[in-house]
Amino acid sequence: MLIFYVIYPFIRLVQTALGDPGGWSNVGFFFSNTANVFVVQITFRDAAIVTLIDVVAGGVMAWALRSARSRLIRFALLSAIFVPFWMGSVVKIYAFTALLGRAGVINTLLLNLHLTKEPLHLLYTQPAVVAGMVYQMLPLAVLPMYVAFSSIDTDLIIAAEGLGASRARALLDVVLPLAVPGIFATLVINFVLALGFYLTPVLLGGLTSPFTATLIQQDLFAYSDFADASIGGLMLLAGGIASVTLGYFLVGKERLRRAISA
Amino acid sequence: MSTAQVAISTALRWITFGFVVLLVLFLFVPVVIVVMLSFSNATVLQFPPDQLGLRQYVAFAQSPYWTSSVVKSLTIAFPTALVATLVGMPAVFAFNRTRLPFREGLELAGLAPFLLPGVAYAVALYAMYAQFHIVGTTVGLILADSVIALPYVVVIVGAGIKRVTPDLELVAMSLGASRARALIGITFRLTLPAILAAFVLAFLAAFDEATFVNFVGGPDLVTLPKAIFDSLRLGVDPLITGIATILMALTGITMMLAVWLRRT
Repeated sequence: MLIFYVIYPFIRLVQTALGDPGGWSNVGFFFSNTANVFVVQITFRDAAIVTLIDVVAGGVMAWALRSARSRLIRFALLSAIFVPFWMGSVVKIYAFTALLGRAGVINTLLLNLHLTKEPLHLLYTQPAVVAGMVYQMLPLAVLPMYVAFSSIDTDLIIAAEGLGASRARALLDVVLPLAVPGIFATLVINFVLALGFYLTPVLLGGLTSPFTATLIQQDLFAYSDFADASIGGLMLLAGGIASVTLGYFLVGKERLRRAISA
Repeated sequence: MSTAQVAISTALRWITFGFVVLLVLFLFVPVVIVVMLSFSNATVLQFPPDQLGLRQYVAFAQSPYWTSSVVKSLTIAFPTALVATLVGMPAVFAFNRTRLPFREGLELAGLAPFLLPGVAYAVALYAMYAQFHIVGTTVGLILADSVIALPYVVVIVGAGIKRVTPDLELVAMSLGASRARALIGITFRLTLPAILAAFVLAFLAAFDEATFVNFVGGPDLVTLPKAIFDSLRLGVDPLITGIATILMALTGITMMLAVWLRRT
């Protein structure tokens, strides 16, 4: 069943990509369209931006959770991480549409406070997509890093401070190097997930947004262009496999597995 | 440390603290907005709601389109969770208790749906389903969702079984139990909470699944996430806030149940 459901679909993907109408020239045709090239570039760039924001923000949150002593702060952090999981994936996007829309919450507030004269164009923009993706993946970035940070002995900070280092320096020179493998594993997993987003680019970016997911959706359901859609899919797949392989060689299988399991 | 360093250090700490507070707010705001709007009586989205009431809940309950989508989701999610658990559980047992060849590779394949970009996988499945003409069939969607739910089972049952030492089985066998009896009587029983937790999470994952249904579900299989997706492409219907709030409460309770199961 695994072979049938995991391996065969990708063989079909390659077949459709390189099959009719033109075999290998399909790829050339895909890339001869500058719009397609642009779209793939934007997808990878934005996935990278989202991953970076999430890993930095998630790292800070994970460390705050690791070092928080007050129960109240721990509770606030933990519930902020877990409550978004209760919302379905489409509902999260719905919430962002309600926040960012022309008559949405943010625009209403800005208008009522007289900070702007007319509603801002927030929805159906690339930042809207990035914000939505960051929101959905932030908890997924915090958890594996929290697990990774938990194995770091906080006495090391005290030791570094005792030897004259400032808190910032102790964190940067002692804790950060120890946390690097965990952070890197999180980076890899998040990047792959970010590449695979479908609903968010389509709904928050609008139908013409420059994302591979939207391109695939248009190709399949508007133009019935299987080959084009498959090549788009292959691009994402290649990116995903490349980053997982990179992660595998840099931090090892065990760390990646732990990052997934968290 | 000099006073300047102490001042910088304190400032940094407050900046970090402020940053974390902002992040917590960022994570909470969408949840709060949805719940707040669900108790507004308006037929268009408006904030702040000027008339409170249960209109969104009533409108949802009275709409056959929405209620039937919930039923559809349930008829997909239950079999999906069942298939994922029934496939995943023996697989995990095999990974951990036998010398099955290629088990590392197989385990990786079980996690693959997590490790591959979702859209790419969805297009690939679509290409395969189109070849076999099973786009839009319930069974097809259940099988596709099962593959997506499988990693939850592999990860959770895998973690559960690693807490049960194989020595217990050896003890049982040295006392005369057969291999099968030792496996079922000891290991299966002790991993049962993890298996149930995996079932619950697989169910939630299948209930929430909205990407694959767009590809392999065809136009006629309308699950709840698909219904919300379709409605979102036309605009923001405040009715959704009602069902979203109910879902959030139910998901929250179910997830806590799963967490509790894993602890016992």
